[in-house]
Amino acid sequence: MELSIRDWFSILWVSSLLFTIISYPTVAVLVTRPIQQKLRQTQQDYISDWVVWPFQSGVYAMAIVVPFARWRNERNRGFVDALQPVRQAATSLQWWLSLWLEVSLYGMVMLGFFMMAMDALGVWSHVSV
Amino acid sequence: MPEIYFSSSNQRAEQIFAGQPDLLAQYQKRSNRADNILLPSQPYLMSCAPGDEATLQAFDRFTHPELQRLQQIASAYDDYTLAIAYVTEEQINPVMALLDEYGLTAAGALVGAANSKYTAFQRSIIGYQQALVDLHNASQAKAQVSGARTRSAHNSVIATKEAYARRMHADMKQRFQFQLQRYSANLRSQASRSALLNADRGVNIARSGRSGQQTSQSLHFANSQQVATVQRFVNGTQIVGRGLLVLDFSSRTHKVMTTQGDATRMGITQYSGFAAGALTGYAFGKGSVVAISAISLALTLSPAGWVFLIGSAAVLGFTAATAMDNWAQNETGYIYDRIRGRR
Repeated sequence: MELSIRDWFSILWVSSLLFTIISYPTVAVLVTRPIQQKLRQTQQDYISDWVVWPFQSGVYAMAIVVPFARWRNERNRGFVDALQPVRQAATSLQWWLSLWLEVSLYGMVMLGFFMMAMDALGVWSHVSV
Repeated sequence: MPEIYFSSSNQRAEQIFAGQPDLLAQYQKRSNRADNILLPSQPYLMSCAPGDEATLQAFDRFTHPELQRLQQIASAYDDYTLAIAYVTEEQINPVMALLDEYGLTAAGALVGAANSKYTAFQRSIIGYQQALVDLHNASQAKAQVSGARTRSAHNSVIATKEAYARRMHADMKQRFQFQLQRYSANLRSQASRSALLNADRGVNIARSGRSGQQTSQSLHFANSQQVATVQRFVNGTQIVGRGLLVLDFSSRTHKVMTTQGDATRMGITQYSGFAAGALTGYAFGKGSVVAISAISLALTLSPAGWVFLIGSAAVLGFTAATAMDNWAQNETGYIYDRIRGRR
């Protein structure tokens, strides 16, 4: 079976989707839950109050990976200060796991839209479109 | 009207109560701190009219995390906190309860019925939800057909429904702003007078804060009932809901179970479409929360609880999610066929 560039992109996209699907529960078990338990002891677990459970891990991963403190200003400090304890509580392994989730999630989304655009522009042929 | 002050950092009582010895004396009498420091996330009374202390006592029912959350909400919504709490409790929550109990269609019928007790704002919430679900269904119908020409025939229908959803969203937002102004005017009619009387204290707070930074919030409550309303709001605020995900997942399972053709192919395309679509909506939703927060939460003036109500209710996120869903179904179907050697 000969694979075209389009097929390689398909494989890449499906892999990123699978990586996201695998990384989400992994982050939930190894990152979100331990940090939640840690922060609840100091009563700093604000994210769990604001976000319902299936969506918490993504927000935790974002809080760990993105250095929000750099853009802290007087208007968004409530938001940034709520995320800061999560970033500080994370270990380096948890940082890598969060990065895995964020990269595969946004990689999947961006790759998907890129391929959608290429399909629409007719840059490459796809039999089923 | 009692004024409750929340400090966001440790502040000296002498600075805050400068020029108001009666308040300072009252603070020293009630506080058991020797260093006269106001602690963050603690309510302090800034007025001493008869009955004001009863309002402060209503805060005893707040737990510490609730107080911290209230301070965060107050820093985002400022003077509108109380108005948002009331709009949420009196206007939004009844509609949400209807949706939970009867589902969208029946709730729409109940709210839209003639002589209905529901306001135009409440009808607009339901209308917006219906428009979004309609758009989602139209998009699903496109995914079900094959052939480029048949598929492109659906595009105009989808574009119309998308434009309608945008219009409904604009309508809902406008009505919400109006309700907010109305509630805010009613709730603050006395508060504005007390703010004028308290000009001295405003100057003191401005002096004690670091330059260019707002270091605290003060909220006005007419009575302890208003405090209780805010407490319920503080406990009920959530950024995202999961209603549509459950609905969507079960409808797909039904599709897979009842398909006449290849059930494995149907399962793979439906569930990967679900995962890709939901994750895209989530990525967009998360992105917009960050964007809104980066600009300023105070600018948006919409309670976080229902901005991202079904999946990601922002039309942009919703459209992106359904586009990705359709494309992913197509794509995984193609890959499945390639692996099975059908193409």
